[in-house]
Amino acid sequence: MLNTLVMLLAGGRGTRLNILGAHRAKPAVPFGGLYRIVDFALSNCMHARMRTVGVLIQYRPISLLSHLGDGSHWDMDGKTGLLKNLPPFQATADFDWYHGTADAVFQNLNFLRRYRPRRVLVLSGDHIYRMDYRKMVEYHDSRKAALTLAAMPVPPEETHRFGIIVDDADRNVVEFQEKPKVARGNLASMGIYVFDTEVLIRELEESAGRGGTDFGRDVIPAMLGREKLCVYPFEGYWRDVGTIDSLFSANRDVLAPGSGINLVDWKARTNLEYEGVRSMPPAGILPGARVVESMVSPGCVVEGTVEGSILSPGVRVARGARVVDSIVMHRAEVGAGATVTRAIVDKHCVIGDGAVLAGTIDGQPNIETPEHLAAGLVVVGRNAAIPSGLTVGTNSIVYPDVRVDDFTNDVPVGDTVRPGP
Amino acid sequence: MRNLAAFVLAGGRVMETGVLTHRRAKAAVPFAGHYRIIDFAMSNLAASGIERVGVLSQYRPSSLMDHVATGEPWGLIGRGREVRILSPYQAGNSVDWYRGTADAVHQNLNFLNGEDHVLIVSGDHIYQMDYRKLLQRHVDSGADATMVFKRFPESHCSRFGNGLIDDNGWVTDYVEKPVTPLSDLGSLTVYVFRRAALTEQLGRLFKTEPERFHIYETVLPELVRQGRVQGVVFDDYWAYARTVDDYYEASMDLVTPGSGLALDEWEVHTNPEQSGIGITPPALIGPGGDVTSSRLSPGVTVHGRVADSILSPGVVVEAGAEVVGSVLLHGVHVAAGARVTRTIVDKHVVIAPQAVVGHGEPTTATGDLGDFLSSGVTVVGRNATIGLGCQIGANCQIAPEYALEAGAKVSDGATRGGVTC
Repeated sequence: MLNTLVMLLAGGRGTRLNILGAHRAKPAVPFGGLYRIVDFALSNCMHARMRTVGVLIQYRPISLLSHLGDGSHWDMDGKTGLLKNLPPFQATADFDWYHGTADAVFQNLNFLRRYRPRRVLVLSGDHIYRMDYRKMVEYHDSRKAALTLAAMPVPPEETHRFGIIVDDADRNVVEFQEKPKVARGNLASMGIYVFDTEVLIRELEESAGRGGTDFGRDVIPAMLGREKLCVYPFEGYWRDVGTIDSLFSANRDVLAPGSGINLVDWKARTNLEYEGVRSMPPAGILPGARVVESMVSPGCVVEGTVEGSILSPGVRVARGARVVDSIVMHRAEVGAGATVTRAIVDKHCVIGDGAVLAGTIDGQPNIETPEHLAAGLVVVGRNAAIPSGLTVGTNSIVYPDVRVDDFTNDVPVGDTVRPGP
Repeated sequence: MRNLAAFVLAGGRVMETGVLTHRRAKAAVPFAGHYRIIDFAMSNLAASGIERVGVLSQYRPSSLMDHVATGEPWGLIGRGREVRILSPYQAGNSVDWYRGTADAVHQNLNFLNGEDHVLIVSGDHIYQMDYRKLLQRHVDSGADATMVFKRFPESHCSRFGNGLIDDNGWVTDYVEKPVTPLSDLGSLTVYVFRRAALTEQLGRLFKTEPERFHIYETVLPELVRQGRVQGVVFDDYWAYARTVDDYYEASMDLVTPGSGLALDEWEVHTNPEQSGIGITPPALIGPGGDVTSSRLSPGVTVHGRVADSILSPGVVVEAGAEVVGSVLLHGVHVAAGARVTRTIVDKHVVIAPQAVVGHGEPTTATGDLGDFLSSGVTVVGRNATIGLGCQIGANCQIAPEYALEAGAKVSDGATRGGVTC
């Protein structure tokens, strides 16, 4: 009998990541140069020796599946480990797409029953943090809880994004508000749950019978008062990087000593097969180049200047180019004399010689999607090409696969550029 | 490629590399950050489509075995593909160590599976070569052996096997390390033999010349005398690490544009468990860090100044420290205010604050290694500790494990600790 089985919710479309989350599931979005977001949850599992993991994926799974591979990168292979893809499926009766976090697990109760674990750890694949899940499980056992929720305080202005918990002096959950307009506290659920397996199965079946599909909205509130729900307080770095702004600032935290994110200590693992990373040489900072306060991955070749930036594997920064306060993903190329400031440049982009990506914190929000992009960044989608000498204003979005002849003029502040026909 | 098998000569340990080959075979010496020297030969073999490789090794093979592992890093695994470390063994009537390259091959002829040709290359050379072209030339010419030369300044030729080639490519004369060179052609220890010719020569020569155990002193001279050896001239980059100075020079080629050592184009593969990629995060240059003209491996953290240097995985350079023109192997720690110049620092050495190691000034002093360490390069052996405020000059050698007490002074050319070879 397995002690703890992990159900990893990796299905989400990162709508608020706009074009960065459009062609891949959110957990597959690159982070910290070398990694993808999902690596943090998987590495936590590896360090906790929880090696049987079901991954629930529904939105554009290709990138994520390639990344997960056979699970060996997180020691989830061999006779005693498993990283199992659990996609939506058809069956003889009652089948459908996943309609929510609880529904996704509910539709895979067969997988769960096959392993008969004592407890189930439900995780989200969208978060950047390091946590020892073993301690949380020990806490769950010692409290004899039916469900334990990891939680940490968040700034009051952000409570509307989270499940908010009100607990008593003994850390029992008294009240649970899902994404409240008016919160009665600021203790946020981190979407990390330890369930006793029998309780989970029963609650999911009952909730489904009432039409419930979501842990935060349906399952957890219904358990209050009937079951023992405990809070596992977490202190440390934890970020939901579901927005362009939060993705950018969490990446920048990697560069800031004392931010709480320390990739050396966290010992996160990733899949090196993808993008050929494992055969890349150490980062080359060539004569005349200058790199200050930045992270530079294997396979990078820098001939220009890089400051306050994160370069994923295989990025090239040509002579005279300047990359400042930016995130540049795998194998993107910054041409000679180009200037990239406050930009997120997705994989395989080509920034032409002398082009300017002019992110700056003052400037009007993106006109089409102000709710996604107002932080003063330029976002360039995967595989896009920016013409030589062109300037792209702040808060603009250049769609994936845009080609050089899709541009006629400089891109004004707040604009959105799509590929031509 | 099914009609050719390869032997890699990886046994060697010669005294000229001093403390760097303490406890490791020369082919296993780290190079270019996260590689080992043998990666270059292994990657050439794999890229040339060679499927069976025997690595001849007898000096401290452990790190080499771990590194070569199953051959998977070079795709040399699966149906018909293999890498085998061929260590000395006992048999009925032959019980002996490998007494030379010819002896090592002779004792392992049973590794061959009926291939028509045998490629023999050195495991400690740094170059990129397509061995298929060599084989083609060999087959077309009908030679018993084909060997590769490179043009060197004549003053260097006494360090190599030295040959003469006629207009049809036949080697007409060959002398090993002559006092007076025959020509500017030095042998690169890359040979293709017809298997039958190799077997015949080895068998005959071991009967008639029982004191000669090297290919260059038995097999080649005899075949050259018979006019059966083709010579090919290689014009591209080639380096080796026979001496500390060679190793240093090749390392500096990594940060010298136009040197021909094109690491970013060669696709050199290594064992990722050794490379640090995926185990450690990308190189981090912190606030106050300043890097120019260098190679940074994964897991490197720089808060000080680094110029013209090669840093292996896990190296830390603290704030106010300065590393110039140096090679720092895995896990070296340079504390605040220390200065490391023109020095090779082996794995896990700790350099305390304010220590000064090496200098760039011209020096005539030569140490115990005489001509092999005379270019002003200082070497610090594995696990040594350099105390607070120590001052170490140029051409110095500090023995592995040696603890240099705080405030110690080591003058140019001096050696500390028992540097045994």
